[in-house]
Amino acid sequence: MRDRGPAALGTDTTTVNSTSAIIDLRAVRYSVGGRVIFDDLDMQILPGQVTAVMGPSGTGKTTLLRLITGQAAADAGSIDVGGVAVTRASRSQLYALRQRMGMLFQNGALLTDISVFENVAFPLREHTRLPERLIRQLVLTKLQSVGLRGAAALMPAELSGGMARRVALARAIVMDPQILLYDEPFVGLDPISMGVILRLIRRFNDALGLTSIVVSHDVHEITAVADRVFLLSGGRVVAKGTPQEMRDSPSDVVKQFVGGLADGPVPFHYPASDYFEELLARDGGRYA
Amino acid sequence: MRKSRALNLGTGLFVLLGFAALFFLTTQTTSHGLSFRSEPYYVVTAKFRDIGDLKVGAPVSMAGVQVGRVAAIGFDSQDFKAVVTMRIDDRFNQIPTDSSANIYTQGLLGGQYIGLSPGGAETYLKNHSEITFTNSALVLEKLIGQFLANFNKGSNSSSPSGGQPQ
Amino acid sequence: MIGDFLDSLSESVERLGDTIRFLVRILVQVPSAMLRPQLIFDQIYNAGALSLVIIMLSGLFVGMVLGLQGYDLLQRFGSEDALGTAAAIGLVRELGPVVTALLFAGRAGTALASEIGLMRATDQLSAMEMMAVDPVRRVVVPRFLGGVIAMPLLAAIFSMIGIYGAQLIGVQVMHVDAGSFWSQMQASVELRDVNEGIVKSVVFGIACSLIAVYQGYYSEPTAEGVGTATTRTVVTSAVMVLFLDYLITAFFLK
Repeated sequence: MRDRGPAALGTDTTTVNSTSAIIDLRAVRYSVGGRVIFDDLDMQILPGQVTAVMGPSGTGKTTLLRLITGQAAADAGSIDVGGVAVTRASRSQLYALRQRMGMLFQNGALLTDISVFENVAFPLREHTRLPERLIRQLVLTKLQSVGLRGAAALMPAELSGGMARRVALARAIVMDPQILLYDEPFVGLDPISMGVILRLIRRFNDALGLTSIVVSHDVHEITAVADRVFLLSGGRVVAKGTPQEMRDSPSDVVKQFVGGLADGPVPFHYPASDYFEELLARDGGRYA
Repeated sequence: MRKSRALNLGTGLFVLLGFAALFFLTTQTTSHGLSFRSEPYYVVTAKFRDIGDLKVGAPVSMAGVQVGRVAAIGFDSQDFKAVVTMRIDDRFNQIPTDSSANIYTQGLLGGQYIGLSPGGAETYLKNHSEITFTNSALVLEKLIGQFLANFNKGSNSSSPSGGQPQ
Repeated sequence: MIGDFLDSLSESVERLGDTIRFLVRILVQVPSAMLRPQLIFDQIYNAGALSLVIIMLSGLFVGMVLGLQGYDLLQRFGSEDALGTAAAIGLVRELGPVVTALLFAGRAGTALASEIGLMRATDQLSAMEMMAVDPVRRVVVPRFLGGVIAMPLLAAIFSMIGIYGAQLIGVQVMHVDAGSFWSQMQASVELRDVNEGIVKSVVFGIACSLIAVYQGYYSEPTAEGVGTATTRTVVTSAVMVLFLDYLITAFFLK
């Protein structure tokens, strides 16, 4: 892959100066129904980079995106996105911020009752008063860039999973956002579609000058495209660095995750009482 | 765009039908209504000593055929009588001037209506003429009261005044 | 046992309060939703025009039953002529609004709840929030307004068809005089009766639409959650309609 520009060159494992970070999470704490998802989470994301957030299932990767976009409110700590303090922002401030962000949902989340064209046009129609001719031009350009201009007239139900995600990607960039968030963009895709999405992530990031955050647990795919990787586990960042640094990391957690080992710091067994004791117990009343 | 036009047409038809139904309910099931069949009519009045619970909109009939409707009910404070204004269809323009108007009840619990009994005169009722021969409504309580009074006095007594018990 | 009952009671009250808050949130957004009338027209079509056939058929049959039952009852008093009155008052004041509301909850209400629930389950609502579009304004309010507008019209159509159904049986089959069927009706049905029916259908329209969009909007984002939301929509709507019916009737008869 080609050179990733000056921002990428400056990347290293040392603490990033907070003033240069476009997304800055500090000491974030978040819990749902008494279950702590994040505890003292710190994360700085640099502009112009593709940042991967990885971690085992259930570590709240999607929740992290919801915190960044203000769809969920943190219990404590501060979240700063593009100069807006999300944790203290009003509803209208949040909506203004979200117009500068795009998000690709796991299944695309296309609006099922309108066509592909109208889906991509949706943000334009809601937020601008552009003439129809211009909307048409913009929408077709974005659809062309994901290779689906020919599918403009189809309904979302007629698309394959990979195509739906590409349409959703076109919709996410139609307002020319500064930040693009991807929630598990590779889940359930065939290798070809996966490759297409990977290429699009990189291309949009560099061509449009975006900042991209990709939440995923597909280690090999994401390390091929990311500039920087955060590994989440147990509600905090356990490792961060370039993909190469992650591969070389001596840390057990990183080794387990990158190598795909069944047991390690992330246990194979869900916490339970001693198996032997439970077998000896006379009745299985606990499950009744 | 064609689809959305068909959809709007459907919506429009539905709303029109809905309002037509509302209009029907307010005008055709109640006496509030302008009648759709507003054929030419003429107006006659009649004074009754008691109209019972005759209502505006009640039918006016002759020999059981409806010839008109009660258009208004007023009160004459000179001779303390009810003034009933009736609209009679122009088709029935040969009603003798000495006809009489009676207030009857439809069935036991039914509403009240005006029945016209023809007289023998050669002249006919015209717009704004008055029917002078009238018989008041049969009011059940009065009738029972009179019946009891007569019953107590003895068997031989005069018939109750005011209305014919028919 | 009693503890469970109290728990479910307090949960119901809590849910009621939550629903009212949702109504306020909807009402606040009504003016801005009015700027996009096309969205509301579409929903009037969905809630109204698509329910028309079932409403008209049910109205006809209810009216015909009223014709038979009413005739049988009234002829015992020799007052068959009052059939028009009985049918019209029964339909306009009571059966029209109530039966229409129950059918509306079953047909349009469940469709609304499952549609919005499915949008929740497939992240469409979150996607709108991410595109800085308030899903309450864009999705919920037009559907709510569509239901509120459609319901009184449906109830009026139901009553009208019902009266013709009663007339069909009374006049054509039982040979009640057509003139007295209509004139008795017109003489004794008052505008107050029609008003009561209109007030009821408007209130039921608000209640049923609100319950449907609420259940859909706050459904669990799973297939099971959507199913639960539609079931709850029907049950809650039915209970609320009958409860409100009693309140409004008592108010009008006072």
